[in-house]
Amino acid sequence: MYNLDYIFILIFILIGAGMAIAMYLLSKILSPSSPDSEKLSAYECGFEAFDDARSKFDVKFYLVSILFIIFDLEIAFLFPWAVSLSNIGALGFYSMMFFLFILTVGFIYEWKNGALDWE
Amino acid sequence: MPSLSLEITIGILKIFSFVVPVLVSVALLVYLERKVLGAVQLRKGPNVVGPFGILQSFADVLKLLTKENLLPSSSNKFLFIFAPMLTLILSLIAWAVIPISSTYVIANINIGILYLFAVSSFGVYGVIIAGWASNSKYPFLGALRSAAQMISYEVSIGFVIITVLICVGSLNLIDIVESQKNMWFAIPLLPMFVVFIISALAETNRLPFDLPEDEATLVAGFFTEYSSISFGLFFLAEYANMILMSSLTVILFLGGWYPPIDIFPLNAIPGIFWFVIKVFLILFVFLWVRATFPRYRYDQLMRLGWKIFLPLTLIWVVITSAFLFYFGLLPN
Amino acid sequence: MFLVGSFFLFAAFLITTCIFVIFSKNPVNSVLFLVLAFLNSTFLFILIGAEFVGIILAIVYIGAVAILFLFVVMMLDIQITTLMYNIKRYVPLALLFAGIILAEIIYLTVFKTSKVNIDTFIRSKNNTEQIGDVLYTKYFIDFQLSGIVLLLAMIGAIVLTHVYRPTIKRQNIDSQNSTTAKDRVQLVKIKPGEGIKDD
Repeated sequence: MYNLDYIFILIFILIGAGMAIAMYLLSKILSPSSPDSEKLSAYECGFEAFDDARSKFDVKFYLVSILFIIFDLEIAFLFPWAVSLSNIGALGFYSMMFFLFILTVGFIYEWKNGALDWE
Repeated sequence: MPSLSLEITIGILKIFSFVVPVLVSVALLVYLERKVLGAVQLRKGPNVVGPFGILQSFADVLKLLTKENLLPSSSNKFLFIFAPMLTLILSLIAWAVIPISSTYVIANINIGILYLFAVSSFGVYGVIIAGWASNSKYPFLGALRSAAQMISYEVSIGFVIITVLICVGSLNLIDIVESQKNMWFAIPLLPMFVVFIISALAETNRLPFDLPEDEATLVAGFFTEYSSISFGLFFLAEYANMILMSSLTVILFLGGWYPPIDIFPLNAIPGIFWFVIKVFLILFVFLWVRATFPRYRYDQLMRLGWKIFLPLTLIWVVITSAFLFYFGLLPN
Repeated sequence: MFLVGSFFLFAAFLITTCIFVIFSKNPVNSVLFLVLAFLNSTFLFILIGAEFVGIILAIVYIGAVAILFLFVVMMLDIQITTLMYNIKRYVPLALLFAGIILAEIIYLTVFKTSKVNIDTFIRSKNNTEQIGDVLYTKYFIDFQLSGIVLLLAMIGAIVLTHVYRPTIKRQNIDSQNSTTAKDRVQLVKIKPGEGIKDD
């Protein structure tokens, strides 16, 4: 027999989606619609849009998200460790401390390099 | 053993027993926010619709429903409509694992806290998709900022959750609350509690971290192009997320449904009451902070996340685990 | 019956979304379909009872990696592009990788499967704890190697993308806090009719 809890989560997702769609459709029925080209143009403080909005942006955002991935993985490694810390004894404890030490070296490198400064 | 269809029916009723109160609380929270801000600024706040203006939010919902919904001509239509729906769905489904008493929860899964962590990290998608699908400058910049901000603070939220888990030894939310029967984690882990509340503000894009919707520089951030109910869905999701984050704070640090002290008149009151009262208190702190602090600048925000919270929480993970390990206090 | 049914449902979704990842014209749509594909694999993992692996897949791949992909794709400054025009060039490479992965899967499933009853094995205990019990002790070396890989990734990302720009004004909180009125303001007594001597 399968665990019902996950089925409830699936049902919840469907109900949530249903509610969001229902609200959208309700507003479609209730609201007027008289579009014109000025109304539908992208907002830019009253100007005509200068150029396409999807422009290049700072490589900084890329760096932030790659650092985030690394720390997210670190957190992912910490979860099972936190749960079974009482079973794995000293080796398990120091093994994680060493792992964190390695990553702290990286973190200090980032810091000294100024990679954490937002410019 | 009840039959499968009966259990599923009960499950669906349970789901509605969460969704409906959450949506009503959102309306009340918006009202409360305006009243609190009014009181802080010596104004009256909404006082026209209904007694004490309590029906104001419902009137606002009706207004949003009947407004014209604009689809900018340069936008990606499907994603533009989809983004607010996604945000709302994510803010609702997180409630699937929130226990409001030791038995009442929709899905009592072993990895409840991971589920919440995952769902809250998906929140970035609503923002990025909205900003990108709008194909307009301000939403795009707002979305980028917002995404970078949310992922930065997620790191510290992750480490804070780890410290709590080290003290509990389980990923199940009911276990987390029950291990706080004698002492709320807010006391031994006070710095983490503070970091968590501040990160929760950043994660829900609230003042003083509401840079994604910084009126002065970005008009309205990622939902500049949104109108009518699409805007309403974002709005609803933002406040539902606030309530969710305060419930999570209560579960992780303030002992969930347990009374402050386990003595007679206090422990006779049902747990749900304590839960709601605590959530309300945390929400009040959110509003209070909004009324008090000026907005951060973006570089300050990133520094707070990466240079202060990240090392602080990392060190606390080490300190907590080392303390429990050397003194043999680890939970089994 | 229910399990098998849902397996085929999610697997079908997974394959469909993967096809869309490859054939979407717009790279942003490709990434979003990739997210859906990850989500379906999460469901599949949960379906076999591996809840921890499933949810970590969601946290790491959907919550972090796919966001990086989105950033990169958005940063590429592509309009609705014509990336598709030379897709044929990559077919041999793609087939090579697909072949290697297929061979690995066959090798693992046919020759390496231990004859443990997976069902009882997984459900006997909380599987987060099962992973935790062996990962840090029995697989000590692998675990530390992954730490070093992460360190390299961190350093690599900084070396590749970070340029220190000395001309930009930065806020130095310590120096701001340690300033006193004397550093900023000079009080001068002025006699009437003389003004300030400009040295």
